[in-house]
Amino acid sequence: MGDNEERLDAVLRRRHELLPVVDEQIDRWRRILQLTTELGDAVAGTQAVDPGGDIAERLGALDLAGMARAARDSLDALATVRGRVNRGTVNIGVSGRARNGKSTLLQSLSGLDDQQIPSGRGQPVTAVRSRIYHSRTERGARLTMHTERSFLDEVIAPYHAELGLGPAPRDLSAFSRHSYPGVADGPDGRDADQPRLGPMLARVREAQQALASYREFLTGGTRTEDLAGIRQWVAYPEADAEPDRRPYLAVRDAQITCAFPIEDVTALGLVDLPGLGELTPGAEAHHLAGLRNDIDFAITVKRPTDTNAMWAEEDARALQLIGSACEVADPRDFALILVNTGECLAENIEALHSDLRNRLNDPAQGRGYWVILADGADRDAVREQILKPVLEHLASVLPRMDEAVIADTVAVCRDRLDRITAELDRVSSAVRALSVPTSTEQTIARAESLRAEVAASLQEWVDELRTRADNEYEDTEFYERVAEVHQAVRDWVLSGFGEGAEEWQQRALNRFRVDRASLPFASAELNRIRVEMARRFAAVDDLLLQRRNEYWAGLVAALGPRFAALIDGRDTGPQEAITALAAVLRDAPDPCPALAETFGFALDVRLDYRTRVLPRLRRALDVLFPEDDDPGSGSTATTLLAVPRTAEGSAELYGRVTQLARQAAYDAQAVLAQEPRTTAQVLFAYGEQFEDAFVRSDSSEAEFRRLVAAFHDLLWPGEGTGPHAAAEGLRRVRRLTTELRGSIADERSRTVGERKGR
Amino acid sequence: MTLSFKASMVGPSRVGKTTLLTAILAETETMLSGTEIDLVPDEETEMRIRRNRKELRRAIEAREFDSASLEGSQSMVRYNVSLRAAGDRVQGIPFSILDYPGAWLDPAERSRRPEARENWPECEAHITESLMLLVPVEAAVLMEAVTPVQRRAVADLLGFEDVEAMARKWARARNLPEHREEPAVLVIAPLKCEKYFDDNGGKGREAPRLRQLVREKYRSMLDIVLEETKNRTVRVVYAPIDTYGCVDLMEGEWTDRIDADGEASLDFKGHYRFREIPPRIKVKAAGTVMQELCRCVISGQDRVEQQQAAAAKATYNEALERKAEPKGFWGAIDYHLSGEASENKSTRLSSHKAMTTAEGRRAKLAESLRNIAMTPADPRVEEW
Repeated sequence: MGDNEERLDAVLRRRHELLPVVDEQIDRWRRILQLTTELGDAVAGTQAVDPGGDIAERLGALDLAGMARAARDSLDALATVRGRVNRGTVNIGVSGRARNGKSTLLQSLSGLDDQQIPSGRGQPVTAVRSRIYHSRTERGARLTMHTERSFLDEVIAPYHAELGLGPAPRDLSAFSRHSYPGVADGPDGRDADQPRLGPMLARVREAQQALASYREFLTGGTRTEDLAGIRQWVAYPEADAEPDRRPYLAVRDAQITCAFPIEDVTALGLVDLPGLGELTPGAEAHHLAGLRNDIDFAITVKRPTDTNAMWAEEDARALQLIGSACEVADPRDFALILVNTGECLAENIEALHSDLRNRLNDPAQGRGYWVILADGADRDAVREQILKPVLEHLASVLPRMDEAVIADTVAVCRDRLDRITAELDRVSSAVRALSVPTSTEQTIARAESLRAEVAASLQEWVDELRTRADNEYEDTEFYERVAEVHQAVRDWVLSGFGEGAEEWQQRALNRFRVDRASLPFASAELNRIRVEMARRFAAVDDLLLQRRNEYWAGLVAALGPRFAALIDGRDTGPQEAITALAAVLRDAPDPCPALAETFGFALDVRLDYRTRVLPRLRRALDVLFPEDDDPGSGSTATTLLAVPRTAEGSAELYGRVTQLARQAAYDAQAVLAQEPRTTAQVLFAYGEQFEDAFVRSDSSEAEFRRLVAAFHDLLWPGEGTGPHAAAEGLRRVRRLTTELRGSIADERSRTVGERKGR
Repeated sequence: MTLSFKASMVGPSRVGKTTLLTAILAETETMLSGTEIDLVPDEETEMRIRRNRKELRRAIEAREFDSASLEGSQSMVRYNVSLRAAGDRVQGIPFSILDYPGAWLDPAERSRRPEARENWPECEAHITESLMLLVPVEAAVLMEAVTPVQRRAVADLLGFEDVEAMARKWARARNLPEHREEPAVLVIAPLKCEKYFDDNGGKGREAPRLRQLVREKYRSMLDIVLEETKNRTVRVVYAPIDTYGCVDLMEGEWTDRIDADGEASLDFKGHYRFREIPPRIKVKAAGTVMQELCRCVISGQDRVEQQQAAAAKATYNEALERKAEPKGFWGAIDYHLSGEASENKSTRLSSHKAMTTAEGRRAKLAESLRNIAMTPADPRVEEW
């Protein structure tokens, strides 16, 4: 291993060691950027919700965008450092205008040929800029493909912008149908731009016409290609090829790996930098980005032909770009001007050399730009006269350049930190001057107000229930229903229990004869009538259930629109609404189990006929028992049921059974007629208990606070604007200010600690 | 005016006053069985009772009967009965119970009614001398009113206004100095209570509710009596009475009506059935009325005797003369229980044998009176 190789490897190892430190710092600055952005949003939010308010006025004077810009500056600087320390290779960029032998030099440096790095005469042929890495073992190409979106954004959109064609098509179909003009007028419509814009328009139309040839490759994936077949992916089609076949348009990035014809370096990369003056949109920006992020050293190639033998303005501008990409390093350490002497006249070579020597590198000013004269096509000359000196140079200057880049970034970060801190102090000062309740205070106040509001409406509801429970309250609907059911039962009784008086008497007589007694038939009939009557009176059940529903509906109404908002959008009945409310409270981020339980209690109202009425109604039907429970009591019922086994006897029995049934029905209706009051008293008691438990239980106060904390936005949906929202925004500003201050302190302590540790 | 022991009765007509009297007679006769003493109605009272019994027989044949609609009493009726020894066709201890319209207490009402104008002095004298105020109450009206509108109709149907006015008149008279020493008993007698009790063949368990309702509804009447008798005590007796004992209220019918003031109200009519076939009348607690009247007489007699023993005869006579002016209660005690009546009669008979016989009958009567008074009250009956 040569000396250069060792030294360059040491540079790369050192860089690698720095990577985690840089990454951590980037993370911290990303957090700072996020906080400054959020802070800006929060301040903007306070101004939006209450434009004329005190809060908006005081915070409006702050330059929060400046804080975010400062954070972005730091991140940009750190990104440059990261790009540098993250490189596993020493990268040499090759720059130069078309037709100056840039591709030829790359071929000489990498050992590749025209198939991989197209060079040629006439039109430029390089369609995709490749990065070429030296490897003694691997050989091949790895292509990263565009997605449809990135293709439209990064390839087509710049053409549209440059040509003044408006926004790029939103998708490929739109692109394929897009109608491009025949002549490029440019954004300003000036004919003077035609020579520059005309070829651009031709390029984008070619891309449109050839869409079918590359559309299938716009996958965003990667492809591995053999170097023998790489040309179609990186070069414009040759003159005799199909004009509408342009797969290179789908390639976003191409990395070629092969063995360079050199011995004393292992980790070397070559970057084909797009040339200035190339007729593609954004060429200069791409060039600068490439210089900044991808390379450690730049070789600018210039071929002194008859028309190109002077150091021209565009050459100077290219060199300036190189300087601006590496501000902290001396451009003369960073760049080399290669005078490509291959196939050039000696006088032209001399002319250019002289121009460089006298005009660019003023001898009076000491050290000038590094200039080498060599034939770029001569691989030996390139290796010996260019690559070896460059590698030796880099082994010497890269540690120094790395230090300078890092030191510059640290300085940038510190400066931006100071700027942010200063602005943050202004924010803190403005915020301190504003007084609004704390979030906790506001939650407590809101919880109390909600509790008071609900207590008042629940009390009104309970008062209404109390009125209904009063002796004199007339539930006319219920009484009418009871009268209706009673009348129906009475009609049934008087119509011979549903079968007709005569038929009943005939059946009775038949049974008397079979049994030779009247009592068995009479007993069976009374039993049947009793069961049927209990069943028929169950018809009031619907009204009992209706009362229960009304109770629930009253409760939901009394809880008011805020609670309704907790289950907004659910088109349900009152029972379902209460069930949903219970679930919401139970499953809240901080559950409110006691409040949820009160809803459970409200749902547990039992008012059905079986539970409420039947037990008492059964006693009213006792008169229909053929015998007393105590047989020794001398049942008088038996005297009523024992009749002669004759037609007269059956008529007499019919009359007596009818009387008993009428009495039972009458007594049953009397039981039912008392039900509205009892029901109302039950509902009143339930309501009173609910109100008591909901508003005044031990945990009520605490759970109302939790409720407000968890569902504030739902409970007060209209408060997206106004002073309350501004106060909420101010609290957010305070919180973010504190967080940002913490992040800055963290960043400062780390930076100091790292400096001490270094 | 006949020298009798008087009671006044106030309540709506058709509440069953004649049936009550029939029941009172029946139970008193039971208490008197084996004593050779009878409770004998006068002719008019007997006609009423006879008519009432005839209606009851018809109802028994029909196996069902309806109660009549209740209305304010429209005319004056006097029920006269006497405790009389067997064989004594004339004399006895007479009781007179007056039923008259409560509306007559209002002078304006009286002026509109010739019958009232004519009978009022007699009425007033009777009320003033009444030892007892008997208030019959139709229990079913109280107990079967379950809806608010039915409950609101109760006051009119039971004639609370008349009852309270009468109670005030009677209590005020009892509090007068000349009557302050006389007994005073107010009997509140719910009638047709068969459905609500289980002690007379029924299955009802609602005696407490009936008691509570009576207390609640008649509280203001009791307050009036208390207020008007500050200088004396009044015995208040609650006596729920089964006038038939063999019936059950089968259905209560509430129908719309327009009351005397032209306002919409409700009427109540009870439909009854017999509990057993054949029905057997089993009156319950009706004897309370006679018992209470006898107690009044006995307590008056006892008081006279105590005073005789404690004071000189002359003093007693003076006192007697004072209390007997006009004759009233004390005169009746003296006349019927101290021998004046029999002496007068004996004088007319002018025969020693007759005098001895008359004295024996007087003693038996007095003993029967005491026996009735001493008979334990029916367990249903309470003193409030």
